[in-house]
Amino acid sequence: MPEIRNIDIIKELFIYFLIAATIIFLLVVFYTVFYSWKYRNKGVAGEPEQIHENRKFELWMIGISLALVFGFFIYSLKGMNKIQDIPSHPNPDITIIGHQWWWEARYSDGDIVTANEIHVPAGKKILLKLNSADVIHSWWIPKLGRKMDLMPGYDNYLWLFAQDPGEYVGSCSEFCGAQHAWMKIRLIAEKQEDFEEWKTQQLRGSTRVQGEDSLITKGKRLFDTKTCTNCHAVHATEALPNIGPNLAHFASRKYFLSNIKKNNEKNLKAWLTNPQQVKSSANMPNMALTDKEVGQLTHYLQSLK
Amino acid sequence: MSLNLNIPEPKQKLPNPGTDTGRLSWISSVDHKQIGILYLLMSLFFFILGGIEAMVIRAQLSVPESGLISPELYSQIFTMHGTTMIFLVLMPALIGLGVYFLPLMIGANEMAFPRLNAFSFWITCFGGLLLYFSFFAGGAPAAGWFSYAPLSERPYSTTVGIDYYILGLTLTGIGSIGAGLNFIVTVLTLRTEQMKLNMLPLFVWMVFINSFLIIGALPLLNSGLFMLFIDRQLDAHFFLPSTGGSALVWQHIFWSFGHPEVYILILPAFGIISEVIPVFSRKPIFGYSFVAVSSIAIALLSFGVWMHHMFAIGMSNTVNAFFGASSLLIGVPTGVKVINWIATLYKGSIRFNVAMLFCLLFLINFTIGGLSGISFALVPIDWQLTDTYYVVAHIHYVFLGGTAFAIFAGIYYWFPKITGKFLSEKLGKWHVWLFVTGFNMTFLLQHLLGILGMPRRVYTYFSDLPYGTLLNSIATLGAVLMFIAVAIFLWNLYISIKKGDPSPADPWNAWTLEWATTSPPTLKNFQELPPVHSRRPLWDLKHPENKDKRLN
Repeated sequence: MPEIRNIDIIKELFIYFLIAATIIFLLVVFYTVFYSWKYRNKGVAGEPEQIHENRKFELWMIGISLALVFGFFIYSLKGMNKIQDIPSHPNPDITIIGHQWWWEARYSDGDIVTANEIHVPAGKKILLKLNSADVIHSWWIPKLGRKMDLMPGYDNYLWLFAQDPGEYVGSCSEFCGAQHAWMKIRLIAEKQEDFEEWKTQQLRGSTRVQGEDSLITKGKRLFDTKTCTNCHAVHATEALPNIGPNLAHFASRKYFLSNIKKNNEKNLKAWLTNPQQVKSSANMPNMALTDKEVGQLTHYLQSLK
Repeated sequence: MSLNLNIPEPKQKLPNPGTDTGRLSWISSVDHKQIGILYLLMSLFFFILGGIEAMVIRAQLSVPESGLISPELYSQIFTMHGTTMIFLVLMPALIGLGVYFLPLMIGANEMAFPRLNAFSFWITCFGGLLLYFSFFAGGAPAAGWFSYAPLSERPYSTTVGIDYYILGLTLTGIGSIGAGLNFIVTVLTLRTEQMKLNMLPLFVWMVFINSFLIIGALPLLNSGLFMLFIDRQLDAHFFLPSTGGSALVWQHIFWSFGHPEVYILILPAFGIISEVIPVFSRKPIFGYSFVAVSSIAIALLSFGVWMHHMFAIGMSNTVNAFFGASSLLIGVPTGVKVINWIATLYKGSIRFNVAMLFCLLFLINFTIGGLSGISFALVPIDWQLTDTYYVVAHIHYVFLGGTAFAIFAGIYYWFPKITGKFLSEKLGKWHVWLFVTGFNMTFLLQHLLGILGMPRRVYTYFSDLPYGTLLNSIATLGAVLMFIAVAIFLWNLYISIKKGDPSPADPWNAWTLEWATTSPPTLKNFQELPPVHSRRPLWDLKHPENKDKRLN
């Protein structure tokens, strides 16, 4: 049986709601306008007939509206139970941790930790575990339907199902501070074999500096000595600081800064030169690097394939 | 049980800012009419501030990736916009109209506790000023009007903004509770002897019911604010999960206040609509008892729906279903009201004064807000659309297309009573049509923006948002129209006070007791009252041949 997509359940319910709401709205508009026009003051002396009430009419109206909301309630129950059907001992495939203002993704099988660009196999139901390292965030990919808050203090679970391969963009939907607007999710749904390939690549020794030219070595030394490692890890294998995004295989990501900037030399250099100018309030301090150092670091980061 | 306290008061004219006796008395007065006017002026002052904030928001969002203001400032501006409009504009405006007209409509000369009345106003006013002082003290609050913990806690909000938010809202909250108590006691004790509770004008009835909501809900907010204050200042950890608190508790406290608050802002507005539509349709309200009882149903249900603000926090479906059901149910009494207002038009003789136009447009626009509200009670739809621009559209249809339209209607309706001058109908028509056009341009399409994926409270968006640029620039254009409309309204207020046509005691040929005294009323409201035997005492007086059914 093909998987029912959350978004289809929501869409169907919304369309029925929209039809009912439109009919009610048009009735209200029609009667408001029609009565106002029909019974406008035509300059006839004296007052119109004083009608006080009609109980039968009122009771009918109450009855009809009760029936209507009851019907919709039952219908929404069905959708609700289909979408939120979490096993009592959930075994999540990926853990998503919200940070101000980026997404951390830890994969359950194997030591894969990545940030912001999240790879999943297409056509397969994935169970996400959601929580937060600081304030409340909310996971929402409009095309996949339903949002779920990432709460500090407890875990939430969400079924994720991307039928077709492709990129799905989403955003944080709970106000989480100054850079809330720049907290985008990029979900990359891939065919199973592509996903496996990506996993293999991520599992490859992540520290290996690829190509040993001297610029990279210098960049790596800078990275280790300039306190970058206080917040950022470049491995996915240990208990590591996660104050800033894990940079293992950083160069394999298309975007950085929560999917706002293309991952290229120009943007990286601008970011490393003065982070607050690119993304104010971000936790990344200005390290007062010289242009030369910025060049070396950029080179190093771009070698982390 | 009507204890008619005859407060001895001179028959002198109500002081106005122009007379030499007047100026200082505005600070010391305990007269309900002066305090009512002060509430309305305060509301107007903050309406201008909140409106300017709205314009900054719209200017920033008019194009994608705009750098007009920094994200930090944007967060402060939208937080202050919401907080201002709810606590410093809509509430004082409704309470102000209540303070002015509730005693007049029940044939009383004063509120039950005149000094408490003055205290309530001044503490509300100073609460507002304190909130705005934050701009000079190191930054306004920037965690949204709902200040979700832990974002509002010290590790994540390091400026004093949140502290000013806490203190400011605590003060306005105390003021509102004072006003609520005052309304309840006034209605219970100061009604003219012949007026039974089932003969109250609907505005009075709604303010009365609403006062129970106020004294039920506002203490919840204040206790939450205190806890947050203790967290921030004394390092407690009520709401900090990292030290054993719970972020969720704040949401429960806030929304168990917050949802009744929504009805606190709409019930008196319903009351205004229920006064104005009958007068300009020349018919009594259709189904008085249904309109009145449905308000009680709303008031009771409003305390049992708060978790529909929290469907995305990951609750079990049992809880979701309960709050979905209660939220659907609360739509029914609201729908009953709309039906009754429309039925009041039926076979009437309708006058299209500006006040009436605002009521008719209220019916249409508020219905949009009410219906979009229903969609949040359908949990799967809420999961998709909560915290998007769809909600932004929804709340503005309720608060602006609903409450604010009703307040405008009330002001055009009662201005002749308050000042003795008519507001210009010609300027008023410009105001109403420009405003409603701009309003719908701004907010109707925002439903679509939400569906297309624009989250709320974002300081910018990207050009990859489908139709984002087009829809947002139309919204900004609409905001400009509303801004012009409000400027016309302000000019109308100014010019009408100066040169408006003088108004007789009963300019609209209306039926409730406030029209039985002079315009404006003297310091003592009534020298004598007409007999009160039905809900429309002045109707009985004008139509002795066709009196309403006697109720006492």
